[in-house]
Formats: sequence, structure tokens, C-alpha cells
Amino acid sequence: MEQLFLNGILVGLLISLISLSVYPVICLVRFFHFAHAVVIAAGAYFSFLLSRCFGWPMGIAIPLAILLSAGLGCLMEVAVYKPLRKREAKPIVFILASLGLYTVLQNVISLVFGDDTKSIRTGPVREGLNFLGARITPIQIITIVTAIVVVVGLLLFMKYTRLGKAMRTVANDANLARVVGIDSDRVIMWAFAIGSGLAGLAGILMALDTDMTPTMGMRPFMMGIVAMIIGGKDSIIGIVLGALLLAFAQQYGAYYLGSEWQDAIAFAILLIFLLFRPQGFLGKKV
Amino acid sequence: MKKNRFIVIVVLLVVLVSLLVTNLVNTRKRHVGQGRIVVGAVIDLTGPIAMYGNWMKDGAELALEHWNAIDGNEDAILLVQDSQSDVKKGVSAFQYLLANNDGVPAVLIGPNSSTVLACAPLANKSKVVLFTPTASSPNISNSGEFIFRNRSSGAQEMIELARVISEKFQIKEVGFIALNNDAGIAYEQAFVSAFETRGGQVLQTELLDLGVADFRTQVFKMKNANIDAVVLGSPAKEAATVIKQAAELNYKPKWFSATPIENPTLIEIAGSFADGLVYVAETVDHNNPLFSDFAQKFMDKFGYEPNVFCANAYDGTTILLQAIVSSHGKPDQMLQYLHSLDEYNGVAGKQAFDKQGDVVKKLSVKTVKNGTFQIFTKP
Repeated sequence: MEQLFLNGILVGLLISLISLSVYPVICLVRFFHFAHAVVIAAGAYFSFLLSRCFGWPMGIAIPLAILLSAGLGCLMEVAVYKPLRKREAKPIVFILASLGLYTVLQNVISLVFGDDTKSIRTGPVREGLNFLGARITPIQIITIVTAIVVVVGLLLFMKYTRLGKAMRTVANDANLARVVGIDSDRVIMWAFAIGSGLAGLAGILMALDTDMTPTMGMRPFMMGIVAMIIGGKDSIIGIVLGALLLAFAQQYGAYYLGSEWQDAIAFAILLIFLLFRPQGFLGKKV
Repeated sequence: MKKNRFIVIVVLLVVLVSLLVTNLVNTRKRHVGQGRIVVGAVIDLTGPIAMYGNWMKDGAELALEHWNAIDGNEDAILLVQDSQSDVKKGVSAFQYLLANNDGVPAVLIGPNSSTVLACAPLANKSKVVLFTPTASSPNISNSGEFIFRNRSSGAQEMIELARVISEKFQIKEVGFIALNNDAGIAYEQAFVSAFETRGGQVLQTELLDLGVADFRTQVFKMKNANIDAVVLGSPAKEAATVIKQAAELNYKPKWFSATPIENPTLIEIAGSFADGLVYVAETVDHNNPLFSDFAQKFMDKFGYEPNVFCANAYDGTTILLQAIVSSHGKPDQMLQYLHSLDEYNGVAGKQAFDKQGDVVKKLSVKTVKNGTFQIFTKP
């Protein structure tokens, strides 16, 4: 059972990472940015392009891939969302635009790289290391450590930096933020950059563990959104707790009920929260 | 009251006219003798099973090229629709082919068995031959008189695999990991039935969702149940991921599988942990001059060595074109032609269709050795 617990921690922290990557964006723009799912895949494919096609070392390819993912997110904001905001488009228009972006970019990845599985793993498959009776691979340890660093880093960033405070202000009330002299467009751009960079990082970690396909981003993105709703979208700690609850419910549910119930369990939890605690674990009641 | 009656009459008229139009579409002579033959194709060219789809498309395209190069043959074109590894999109693509281009007389379809099964009722109703060179679900055998395939049924493969496991390996207890779709479930049912008949027992079944990459819980359940032999009834990518994640969990049972496993993806993902896997597969005879010639031309055109899926698609397309020409595109005559084929000699070997539109092919027992797919000699 140690293995099941470890799997829960690993999956939960990975969902946390994805959820936290979309957190700055959703808090500020207030619509489900579906195209974020393709940024997760793009991070993995950028690292594949740089390391496998250009032959660059992973130490250079990975940071560059994260920067390129951040750039992709900013490009979406500049080219699509900002003009729509200027025109005061309705929320449904933003959602349709983001779905359109997702479809187009996912097809671009398919066209350029093909639909077959690509790998950026550097060595052969090896047995996992024995850790308290469970098996864990080096990349899974890196994923867990990275996710913890991101959670702590994001907490500190949002609480203590000027930009973090500005993000919280814009998220609370964009008009008020404008009155006190905050350039909300600039803050939103930063939210896209940070969120997309983190999405790229999550994609790379996923690809190092389980390889990559062009559609790899959508399912984890949906789980990230569910975790955010469960945890409460205003709280980083709440999101992490939501992700862990979701992951443990899925892992133990799959073990005791059957793996075909994994998604049903996730959405059943979502429904329960929406009905009985819509603000999530630690979200503020409106 | 009068207004309601008027509405009812209008609705009835609309329904009547629709039925008449539908009937006209279904019965008119389709695309033969007008200077070209149009064959539809609904293929998964993108999405998780795109690799099999692209093999199928390449085989079909080469068949078409060869057909058009023969003097006296009516020109043929292939209208390819991408079903994106998605059943709903596959059905929409099939409906598009039925509704446009004056209705195609036959459609090549695959590799997703669920898409074939979802399109089958429409094909039977519209009297359009649905031909799959790649889909293997046992349920396709009973999906209607207009459904044909030259890919061996998964049931045939599972029956043979059950025999190999119990006779050659003397294994009486296994676990089964199947894809959570129509084909996967049907594979599992066929195997359980055949294995239990031989006195074996399937201790545990786990399901995998297509496109998912984390199967650690399913693997861990198998490991925890101390299962020493596991049958993988899934495409290569999912099977390879299971083997890789099992190795990472220090779980190394004896792996068994079927035709879809013969895919370079298996070696790329699972590496040396795929070695020793034994599978039952439809194979091509490399000594057959027809196949050698096809393989050379295929290599020249596409730059890679063709496999059984490419060869099946080549044969399937050629058979369909011959059937359309012989029957002048008339549905019932096409059926007669296909059933009358007595051992069609194709690049993938000799093929004849039974009453259910299935081919019965010779299967080989193969294994993975040093990262290559080889004929299995002994346990």
C-alpha cells in the first residue's frame, strides 16, 4: 500500500503543478483558458525539438523550452485575448477562442511532429529506487521536489512581491486596480508568462516520465481545473489540497473499484463540491 | 384544430419526401462508369492510434497508384477523411461520404474498431460496403452483411494465444490488461472463454483508457496479486507503457500479446524490458514474390518497410476496386463478388471471406528478442 500512497503523492503534486500553472491566468482573466492544455504539450515538444532535433544538452533545452512556453502563452494573450478584452467580448467568446486556439495549436504539433509517441528520456528504462517499501524513479523524485518548490515559490511570490500583489489586486477588482495605477494589461501579460512557463515545465516533467503525444495536455489540464474548483481558486494551499484529494481518491478508487472509475470519481467529487461547497476547501464564500 | 391538422400534414409530407430522397440516394448507381471510381476512406490519421491509420493510408494509396497505372482500368480516387481516433468524428466522416460525392459505393475504414462498429448500422442501411484492413474487434464479425475485413479477428488471435499459453508455456493463471473500448473488452472476453475452456483462469482484468499515460495503479494491482503472466490486449503504445511502468515498479511477469504489439513504439518506450514478450500475430510471408515486389515499391515511395497493416490495406483497396468494377457499383452484386472470392492471392497472402465477411488467416507465434520482432521457436 506504500506504493499506492506514493503514487497518490506523485499524481497529486503533478496535478497541483498544472493547477497552479493555470491559477494566475484564470484568476485574472476569469474564463477557462482551454488553450493552456496545448501549452503543456508545447513545453514537452519544445524540449524535444531543442534536445533531440537540435542536439542541445538538456540543461539548456529545458530552460529554453520553459521560456518558449511562456512566450507562447504571451503570444496568445497579445494576439487573441487582449483584442477581445478591448472589444469587451462576452465570456463565451473567450472560451470559444481558447478552444479554437487549442484545436489549431494541437493540430500544428501533430503536423510538425506526428502523432506517434516521442521521448526525451536520456537513458534506458530502469527499475525504480526502493523508498520505504515503494518504488520511485529519479524523474518522479525530481517531479515531486519541483512541484513543492513551485508551490512554495508561488506562495512567496504572490504574498511578497510587487507583481504578486498587483496580480491579487487585479484578480480582486480590475477597475479598482486601474484607479490605483496598476496597468492590468501588463499584469495579465505577466500572469500568462508565469502560468505558461509553469505549464511548459509540467509538460516536460510529464514527458520525462511518460513520454509525449500532441494530446497529452488536455486530461491533466481538466484534472487541474477540477483540483482548482475543489480547493478554491483563491487559495494556493487549497488548490494543492484539492489536487491531493483528487489524486488519492483516483488512486485508491482505481485500486478498490477498478481503473475504469478514475474519471467518474474525479467528476463525482467535483459535483459534490459544486453542490455543497462551491467555494472549495479554502476558497472565500461570495 | 385546423391549424394543428395542417402542421401534421406538412410534417408527414416532409418525412415522406425525405424518405423518397433517401431511397433515391441509396439505390442510384454509384460512381461507376462516369470516368472514375470513388472509394471513401475513414481513417484515424491523427490521435492516439494514428500510427496504424497512417500505415493503412499508405498501403491504400499505393494500391490506388498501381490500379491507375494499369491500362484499361477506370481511374480511381480515394476520398480520405480523418476520424482523429474519435468514434463521433468517424461517424460524421462516414456520413459526409454517404451524403456527398453522390454517395460512395464502398468505404475503407480503420483502425479504430469502435468507429467501424458505430458506422456499421449506417453502412448496412445505406448498402455501402465497409471494409477494414486494420480493425480487429471480434464484434465486427456480427456487425452486418455489408461489413468486411481482411485483418484477422481478435477472437481468432485470442483463441490461438490461449492455446500457446496453456500448451507451450503450461501456464494456468494469468492477468489480462485490456483497452477500455469495444475492441479491448471483446479481446478479453474471447481470451477468457478460450483460456477457461483449456482449464486456465484469468485471475484479474484491468482496463486502460486510450490516450492516458499513467497505468501504475493497474500494474500495481497485478503485482500485488502476485500474477506471473499477463496478457496485453491493447495497442503497442499503451502496452509498452504498461511494461515500462511495471519494470519501474520491479514487476516483471511473462508478457503475452497479439498483432498490434508489433510496432516500433513498443521498443522505443519499453526498451529491453519488452524482450521475451510472446505474441500471436498475423504475418506476411517475406518469401512471397508478390510481397517482395510490393515491399520494394512501398519502400521506394514511403521510405519505410511495410508491415502487415500496410499489406492488408493494399490488398483491401485492390479487392474493393475489383468488386466495384465487377458489380458496376451495385451493392448486392458487390456482396456476391466479395463472397465469391476464392482465395484471393494478395501481397498479404491468400484471403477468402467467410459468411460474416471475415478472413481466416494463418497466425504465427512471435517474440521480442534483442529489440526485434522474431518468430518464436521454443519457451
